[in-house]
Amino acid sequence: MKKIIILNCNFGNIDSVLNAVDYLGYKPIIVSNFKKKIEGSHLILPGVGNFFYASKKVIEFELKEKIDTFLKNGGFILGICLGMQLLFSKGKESGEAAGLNYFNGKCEIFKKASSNKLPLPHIGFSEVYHPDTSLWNGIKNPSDFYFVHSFRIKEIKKNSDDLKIGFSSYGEKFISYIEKKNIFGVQFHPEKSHNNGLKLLKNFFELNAL
Amino acid sequence: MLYKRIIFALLFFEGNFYLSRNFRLQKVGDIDWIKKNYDFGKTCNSLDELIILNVKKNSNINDKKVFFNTIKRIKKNFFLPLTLGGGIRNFEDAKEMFEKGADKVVINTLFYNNFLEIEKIANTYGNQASTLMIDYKQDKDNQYFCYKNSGQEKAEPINKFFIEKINKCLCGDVIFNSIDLDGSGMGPDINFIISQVFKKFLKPTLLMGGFGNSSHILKALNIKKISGIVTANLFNFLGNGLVDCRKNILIYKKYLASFE
Repeated sequence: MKKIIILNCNFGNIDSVLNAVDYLGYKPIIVSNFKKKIEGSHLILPGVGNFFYASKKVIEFELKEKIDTFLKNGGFILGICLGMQLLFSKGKESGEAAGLNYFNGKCEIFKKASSNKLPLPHIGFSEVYHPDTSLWNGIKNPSDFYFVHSFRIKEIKKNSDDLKIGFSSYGEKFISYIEKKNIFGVQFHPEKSHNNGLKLLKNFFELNAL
Repeated sequence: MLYKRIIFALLFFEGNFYLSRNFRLQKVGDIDWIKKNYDFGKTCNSLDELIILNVKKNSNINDKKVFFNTIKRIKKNFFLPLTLGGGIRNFEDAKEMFEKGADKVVINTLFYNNFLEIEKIANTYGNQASTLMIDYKQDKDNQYFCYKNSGQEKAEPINKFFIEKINKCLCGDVIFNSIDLDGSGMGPDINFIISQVFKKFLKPTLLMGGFGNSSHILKALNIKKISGIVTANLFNFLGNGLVDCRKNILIYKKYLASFE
């Protein structure tokens, strides 16, 4: 039985994600009380906003420990936008702050945007060149997805075989998709990307326990 | 690569959608009427973003309830970024819009009257969360001025100081909306956006006002610094209008994203 959880950590609205999950025929549970452990099969960590602020919430809600247990029990996590950035070790928005540290990389401002005269934030649809994995079943390569962000992860250290990465470009190449075992992250917003986004979310919910 | 955007703006007033011509409103119909007569779903599926503005001044609790109920219905079936606006006077007004499903909010008068509130919005929801709408027109001496309070009150000249002020504003997109061309379908104000004063402009630039057909849109998208266009021209672009327009533009240039 699939049990979809959406974490509501008060960084950004979860309404669009909720609508998309609902449309796909699932009845998600919204978790905003972090006293208990997180129980479910698929967890979405959405987020729009500020890394520093979100990092404080991660510590306040003891999210790391709770997500660790969730993953150990075979659950799948999908971080969206700021939610993906938080899966990395560090963020530098409004000062340095720690992430959940599942991937070793830094989230920093687009460095080449200003020299290429590209405005920030990066807002709109951009191509995503993605790996050929289950989450991308039935989705063309590359495909267009909606982005809205000023900070990005440029590279990841310690590459391993089960680490799969997707790229996009805005003045420079950056990581727009990442997966490793049961951890997934998208810098774009599938819930705001028409059919492509719905397909990706559907594929995520169809992943079966490890 | 980042694609350019075609954004549709719906103007909402007491339960109905309206057309605007030089900032004067004409009633079109409610959401059911638009859905039935203009195949609204088809339009939404070929848009990069949707903006819905509650243009009633000093909306009371009931007006807001009607507005947010309509938003809820629209959000249920369409999966694209939604920007809401109209009457945002402080952080709390913006917060309410985010809580009712906005991905971004439109700010206008706040920019002139209370800059600090925009910072407050940015600190909680991020810089990208506010879209600044600048309503402007040319005076008799051909000088461009921006206007606040739904285009009724002359605010300040659009010069390099003004552009610097926007650059410093903690907002994302900036929509330049021509009051003179509003609803005219006569074509966009290209001269304005390519003028010298914009040379140092750093924000994503959206042009609004005057779009009547796909060649108008293509003409604007041809300009490098334009990130996208906004139209509220219901009669020209609903139904098959925008779907065809998107197809037409893609024949000439790969400016726009393709939605499968």
